Amino acid sequence: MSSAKHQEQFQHFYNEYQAMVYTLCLGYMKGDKDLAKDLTQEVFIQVWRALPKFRQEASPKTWIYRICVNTCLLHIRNNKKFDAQAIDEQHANMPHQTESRDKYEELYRAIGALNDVDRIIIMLVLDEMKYEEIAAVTGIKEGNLRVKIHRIKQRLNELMNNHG
Amino acid sequence: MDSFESLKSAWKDSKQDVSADMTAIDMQRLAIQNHGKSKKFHLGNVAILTLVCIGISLFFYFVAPMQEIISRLGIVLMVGGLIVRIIIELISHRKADQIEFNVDTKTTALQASKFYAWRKRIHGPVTITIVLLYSLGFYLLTPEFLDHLPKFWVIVMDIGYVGIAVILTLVISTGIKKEMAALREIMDIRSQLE
Repeated sequence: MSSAKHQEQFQHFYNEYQAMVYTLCLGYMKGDKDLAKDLTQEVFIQVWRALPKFRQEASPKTWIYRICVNTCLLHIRNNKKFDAQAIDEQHANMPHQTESRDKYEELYRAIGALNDVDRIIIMLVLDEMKYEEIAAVTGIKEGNLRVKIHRIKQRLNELMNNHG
Repeated sequence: MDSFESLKSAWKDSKQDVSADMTAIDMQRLAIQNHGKSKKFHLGNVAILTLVCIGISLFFYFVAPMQEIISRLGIVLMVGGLIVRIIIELISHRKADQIEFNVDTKTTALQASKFYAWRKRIHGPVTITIVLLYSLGFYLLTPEFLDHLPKFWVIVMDIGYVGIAVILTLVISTGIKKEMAALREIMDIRSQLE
C-alpha cells in the first residue's frame, strides 16, 4: 500500500468509525472518559499499524471492531488492577447530577459488573450488530454466542432489578 | 420498559454525545510518532546491552587482556551471556510484533497467550541460567585479578557484585511475576471466550 493511500484510508476510517470506537471504549472503561480517550488512541495506533494488512476479506466495520475489541482486552491485561479499582472508586464517589447522567451511570454500572468478554459482547449487541458479525469479531461460534447473549441479558436484568 | 431495552436506549443516547476529540490528521501524526517511539524503546534496550557487551569485550581485549584459561572462560561466559540476552530481546520484539490485532479475538488471545507463555519460559529458567553463568564468569576472573590488583579491591569488587546480583534477582523475579500474571489473565480471557 502506498503511503498516500495508507494515510487516506486511515483518515477515512478515523472519520467514519471514531465515534463507534470511542463509545465501545467508554463502555469498556465503565464511563471513564479520560481512559476511554487513551484507549481510543491506542485502537487507532493499532489501526495505523495493521492497515497495510487490510485485504477487505472482512468489512471495514468488522475489521475495526476486531482491532478495538482486541486492544481493549489486551490493554486491560497490562493495567487491570489499576483500572478496575480506580473506576469502581470513581463510581462510588460519583455525584448524582442530572437525570441523563444517572441514566448513563446505570448503563455503565450494569455493563461494568460483567466480566471483560461478556461486557464486550453485550456492547456489540447494544450497537445492534448481527450475531454473525459478533461471531466474526470474537471468534465465538454463533450457537454458543446465542446462549451467551441470552445469559448476559438475564444477568443484566437481574443486576438492574436488584439495583433499582 | 424491559431493563435491557432501557439499557439499549441509554446506549443510543450516549452515542449522540460523542464528539471527535482529535482530527484525523492529528490522530495520524500521533500514530506515526507512537510507532516510532515503540520501536526506539525496544531497540534502545538492545543498543544498551550491545554497548555493554562491546565495552566488556574491548576492555578485556585492549586494557586488561587475561592470560589464564580460566579467566578467558570467565570472559566467554560473561560476553556469551550478554549476546544470548541480546538475541532473546530481538526475538521477543519480533514475536510481540507478530500478535495480530486485526483478527478475531479468539485468535488474538491464543497468539497473546503463546507469547506470554514464551516470555514466562524466557524470564524464568533461561534468564536465571544466563545470570548464573554471567556471575560464574565474573568470579572466574578473581584469581587473575588478584595477580594484578590489591587484594582489598578484589574483595570489594566480589562483594559489590553480590549486591548487583541481588538487585538483578529482584528485577528478574518482578518480571516473572508480571509475565505470569499477564499469562493468567489471558488464559482467563480465553476461558471466557469458550
